[in-house]
Order: sequence, then C-alpha cells, then structure tokens
Amino acid sequence: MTRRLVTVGGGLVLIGFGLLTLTAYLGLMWAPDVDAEAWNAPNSYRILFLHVPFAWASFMAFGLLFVGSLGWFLKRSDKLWKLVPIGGETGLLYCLGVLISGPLWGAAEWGVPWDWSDVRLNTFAILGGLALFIVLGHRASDDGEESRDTLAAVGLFGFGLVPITYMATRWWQERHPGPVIGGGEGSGLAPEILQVMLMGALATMILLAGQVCISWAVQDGEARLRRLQRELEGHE
Amino acid sequence: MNDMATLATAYLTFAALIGGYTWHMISRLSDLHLRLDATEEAISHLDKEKAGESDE
Repeated sequence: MTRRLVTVGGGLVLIGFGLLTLTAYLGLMWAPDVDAEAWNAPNSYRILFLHVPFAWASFMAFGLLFVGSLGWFLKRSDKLWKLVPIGGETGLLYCLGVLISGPLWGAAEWGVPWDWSDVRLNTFAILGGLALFIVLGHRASDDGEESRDTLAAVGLFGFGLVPITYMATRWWQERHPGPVIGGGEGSGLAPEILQVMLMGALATMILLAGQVCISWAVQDGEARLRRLQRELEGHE
Repeated sequence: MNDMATLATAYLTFAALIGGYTWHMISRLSDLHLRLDATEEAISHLDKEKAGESDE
C-alpha cells in the first residue's frame, strides 16, 4: 500500500511539475503583455500565473486540514488525523509561495510590499502563521491525544478563515486586486491569460495530490516505526 | 528592485519552494526506510537470540 502510494504520488508530482514548468514557460513567453501605461510594473503581472494557483492550492490544503481535524474530533479517527499534518505542511508550502511572491509584486506595482489595512493580505498571513504553528507543533510534541486536540482546534479555526480570506476582496477591497473569476462586471482576464492561469491551477492541483500521496506514505511509515520501536523496547 | 528582477525573483522562489519540499519528502522517505530496516533487523536479531537461549 505504502509503496504504491509513493509510486502514484511520485508520478503525480512529476506530471504536476512538468505542467507547472510549461505554465511558467507560457506565462513568461506566450501570454500577452498588459498595457504598460496602466501598470507601474507591467512585466511583474506574470507572477499571477503561479501566485493565484498557489493561493487556490493553499485553500485546498486547508480543506484537507479541516477534514482531518473534524475526523479527529468527531470519530477519533487515526486515519483521518493524518490529513492534519499533511494539510498543515502543504498549506504552509503554498502559503509561503503566495506570501513571498505577493509582496514582491506589491513592492514593484504599489511601491510598498504590504498594506496593513487590506483584509485579504492580513487574513492570508494569519493562515500562513497557523499552518506554520501546525507543522512546528506536530514536530515538537509527542503524538498524544492532547496535542492532537490542540492542533485539530487550530486547524478548524484556520479553515474558518478560508472563506473570509477568499471573499475579502469582494467585501472590503482595499489594495489587493479584485477577484479574477466570478468577480462581476469589469473584472476578469483576457482569454489567453486566463487559459495559462487555469493550466497553472491544474498543475498545482496535480502536484498537491502527488504530495498528499507521498506525505500519507510518510505518515504511515512513521506510525509503523513507532510501533516497531515500542516492540523493540519491550524486547530489551 | 526593477520589474524584470521582481519577476525573476518570484519565479525562482516558486521553483525553490517546490524543489525544496520535494527534496525534503524524498530525504524523509529514504531516512524512514533506513530506520525501519534497522529497527526490524534489531527485533529479528533479539528474537533469534531469545530462541537460541531457550534452546540451550
């Protein structure tokens, strides 16, 4: 089972990585330029081809975290619990991509990397902080019921922030650009830009699926190692 | 930072994050395999020792 998960996960990671490389190539070489008069940093807009898919992937990772946390609280399920560290790790990975590339673009386009009055930026940063807490908390604590309760509670709170973060640019748009899909009249992207961005979204979803498979195999292996170590201590 | 440098830094960041996490997972898996093999070997060694003692 574990070996098969690693094989499937490895294959998905390779496909996702290939598609992501193609997205980067198309985003840099094929996607049209934007109006240089309308933007302060017209080339940097190309960050969007990976920035937005990374943000969506982080929301998916927080979805896994939510399922894992709920599974732990409602059923005390060891199987579903594995989704908590997996969702935390992958959530942190994609949050970091967004939290580094966003301020880089902001510094070039707005002249400042961060705006403390923008709800989208701040709630997303809190999500990144929660993912970091879950990853570090999981590594630093023994795998007992109390630590699982704490991390699962943080996971539930984190998922509660996802819809607020997602809707923030619709409800209180300050500085972060408005929604690129389903944002109403006047929003939206040129078809070529949208196509490349959706390809990036597909690539990150496949990559995330592969990472989840491999991470699940690691969690399985670590649980087996803990059992064997207890057995060994019993022998001595 | 100018426009093109910003773009290059962002794309390098994405590549470093994905590459770094993939490398981290590969090294975690290989470390785990080594530790599992060593623990299983230690258990089977102790089992054999115990079996030898009871034969004597």
